Amino acid sequence: MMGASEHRDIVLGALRIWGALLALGAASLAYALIPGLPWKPMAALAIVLVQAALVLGGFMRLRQASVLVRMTALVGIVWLSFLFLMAFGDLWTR
Amino acid sequence: MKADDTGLLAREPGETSYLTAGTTLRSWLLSTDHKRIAILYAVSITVFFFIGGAAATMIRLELFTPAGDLTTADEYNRLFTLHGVIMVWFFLIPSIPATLGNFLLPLMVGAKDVAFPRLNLMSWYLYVTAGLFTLAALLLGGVDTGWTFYTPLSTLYSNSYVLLAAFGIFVVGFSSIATGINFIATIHLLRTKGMTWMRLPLFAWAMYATSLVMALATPVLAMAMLLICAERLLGLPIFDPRVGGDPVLFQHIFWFYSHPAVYIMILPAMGVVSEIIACEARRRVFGYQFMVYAMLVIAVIGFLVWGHHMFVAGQSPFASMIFSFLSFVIAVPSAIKVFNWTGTLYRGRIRFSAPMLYALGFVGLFTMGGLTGLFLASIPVDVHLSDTYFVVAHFHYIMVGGAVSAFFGGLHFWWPKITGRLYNENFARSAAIWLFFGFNFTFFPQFVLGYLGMPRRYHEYPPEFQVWNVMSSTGAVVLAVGYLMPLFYLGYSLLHGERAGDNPRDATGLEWATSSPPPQHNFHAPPVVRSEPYAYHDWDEAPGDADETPQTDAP
Amino acid sequence: MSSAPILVEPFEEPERQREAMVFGLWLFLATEILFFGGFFFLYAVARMQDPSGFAMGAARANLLLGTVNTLLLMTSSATLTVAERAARSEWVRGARWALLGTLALGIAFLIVKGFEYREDLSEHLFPTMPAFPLRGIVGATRFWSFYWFVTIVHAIHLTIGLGCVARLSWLVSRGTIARRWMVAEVTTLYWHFVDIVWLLLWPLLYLVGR
Repeated sequence: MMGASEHRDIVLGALRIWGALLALGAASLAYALIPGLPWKPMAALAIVLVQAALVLGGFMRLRQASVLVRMTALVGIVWLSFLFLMAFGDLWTR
Repeated sequence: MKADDTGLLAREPGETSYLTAGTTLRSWLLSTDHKRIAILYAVSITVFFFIGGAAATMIRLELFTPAGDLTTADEYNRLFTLHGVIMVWFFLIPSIPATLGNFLLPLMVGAKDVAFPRLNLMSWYLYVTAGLFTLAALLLGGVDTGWTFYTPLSTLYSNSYVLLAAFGIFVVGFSSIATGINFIATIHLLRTKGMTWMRLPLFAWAMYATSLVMALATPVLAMAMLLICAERLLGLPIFDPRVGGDPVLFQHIFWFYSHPAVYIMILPAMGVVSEIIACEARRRVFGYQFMVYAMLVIAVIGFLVWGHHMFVAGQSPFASMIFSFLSFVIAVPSAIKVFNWTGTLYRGRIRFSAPMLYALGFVGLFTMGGLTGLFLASIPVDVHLSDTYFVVAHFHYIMVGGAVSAFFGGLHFWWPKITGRLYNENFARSAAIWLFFGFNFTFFPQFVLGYLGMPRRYHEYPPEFQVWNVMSSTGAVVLAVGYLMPLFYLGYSLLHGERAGDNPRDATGLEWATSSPPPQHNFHAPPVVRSEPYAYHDWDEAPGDADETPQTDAP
Repeated sequence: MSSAPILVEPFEEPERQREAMVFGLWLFLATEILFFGGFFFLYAVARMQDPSGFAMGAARANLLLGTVNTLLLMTSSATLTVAERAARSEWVRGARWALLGTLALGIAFLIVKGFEYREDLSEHLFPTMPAFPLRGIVGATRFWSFYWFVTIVHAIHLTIGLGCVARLSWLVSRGTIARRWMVAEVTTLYWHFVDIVWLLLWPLLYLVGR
């Protein structure tokens, strides 16, 4: 049976990631609202990428998962890229 | 049939099989046994096959004469839409995977069931629910957009039950995805001791490749159908050209799924044919590894060629060239498989049983269909052949001449295993030959019609096309009779057929190491695999009599 | 672990069962990536087609309520993580409270969304309404089509997730959560995915052209 310190570790671990997500969200909001800053859409998406990495690594524990599971996560992204690449290939060369 | 320890895997006399373990309706409808679910699917897809076939009958009847005398143009639109929707989503896509795949995959890998048996049952219920939605659309008056649901006709202008049908297809997609996830997990994680990847039968590899496609392509179809539903139901302008919507965008999303979908239909067929040819020619498969890689390559490249359906839709010439090039490339692995099947037959001791006749028919008809696909992959040729009967003939050669032949071949090949009964081989052979002739009689004239310029999806045509249409429609009568034949002798076999032994075909796969029909948990004890598949003879010898080594035996 | 995990057919070993459940769920998440991906593709095309119109439409989205929802969902991911790890460590009390917290946060999200929808509708921001204020502006109309479509689809995913979390709560009340920690594990994987989708939607719907 796990002790109180274990319980504390569980809560603090989740809290740390939550804090990071919050900070990133605030940064994204600030960047969007401050006038005159460049590359706003790109910055927002970059921040989402970091947030997603935090959720995948910290909450979903993808880093400790088996190779099979990590490949599976990758496969979805790769296959989606087929759609984006080839369809935009059509749209941008019309 | 040699080795002793296969007796350990088969059932004791008096032990129940999966068929007799529980005889109430509830035990069938709530069963999580993959074998029973396979039978549930088999019954349902047969019902849908006949509904789709009824639509085809009406179509071919109308096309006997040049005038549009049997149906109006609008009714005709609803008929070919019904035919396409039912045959693609409710017959072909589930056919081999959900029936033969469900039944055989766990047996072939030596497992007790699939990885997620309750998900398996749910996938059947999703299928049936979806079927009811789609049938409702039909009974209420049908859909007139074609199975392709092109926007903005489907979203804005069609006065038919698009929402109901699109929602039905949305739901059936999840049935497909569930099956795909189940099979992939089963193959990765439930292989029995000694069953390494390179000892898997080619049918198992085919299920793996098919499942990859089912899982990764179908979600995009789900999104396409959901978007149509949103536009129909809520009026949200998504593909509306008046608000910037591009019809070609719908086509990109639709064909991103629908092209891989045809590989969902053909890869399982290729797996079945490999099993039949190896066993009935008593030969190791020529180039087993290349057969595996070919199926995987087809599954991946199949996702990169969808634009070949859009050469005349306004796609950029540059993109069209890339899609065209890749469409030629994907012919290579398919051709490798045809050469390897031929190589397997060479110096074999061929038994011209009904399954072998179906498999041989497959090789010829698939080759025809595949080669005519190359014509269509060539952009300048496709500009003329697009939307003509050439395309219709091409895909029917692959889907009917290919996939349905293989399905029937597999049904006959594994019939003794599934039912525990033998069927009348002479009737079966006659039906196979009858179907081969009926099929060619129906669809070969359509190549000519397409070449001569007859457009598809037209209920009337100029008189100069009549002779070919009459040939095709007459062929369809022959074909229809051929499809009815198995109902009789297979039905008879169920009731009065001779009992089959565990391995009437002397095949080497794990599924033949257990009883016919198998016990509920497949094997008495988990099998151990000691040799590669298709060990029908020694490596350096031609096949002799009774040379085979079952997979459970050491080589 | 002192109590053995409950096994389901056809598994005979806990490790194999867990491997299968996690793999199966990730496979499902891969399909969800492709599902939402189809939508994001259309969004990207529409936004690039008429960026100023799109921004005009997005300016009318309720940034405050959208941000509140993002906070709620982020926090719910944290609480559910606590619940899952608590279940695995057999800290049943922690699991119970964390699950209730997750449920509350998820329901709060839906309530806030409901208020937001009500406000959007009172401003006639549904493209088929005769009083739609941005009629004729292509990008703006498409933005609002996409907004309604994707937030409804996301909300449906969230509701399904809430059902799964509620089931976990029920398992706690039955006292079997410690033996069913694998179910908790896959439920949280799904919930985190729904969270990630929202994290992506938030800037795409609420931070456009601000």
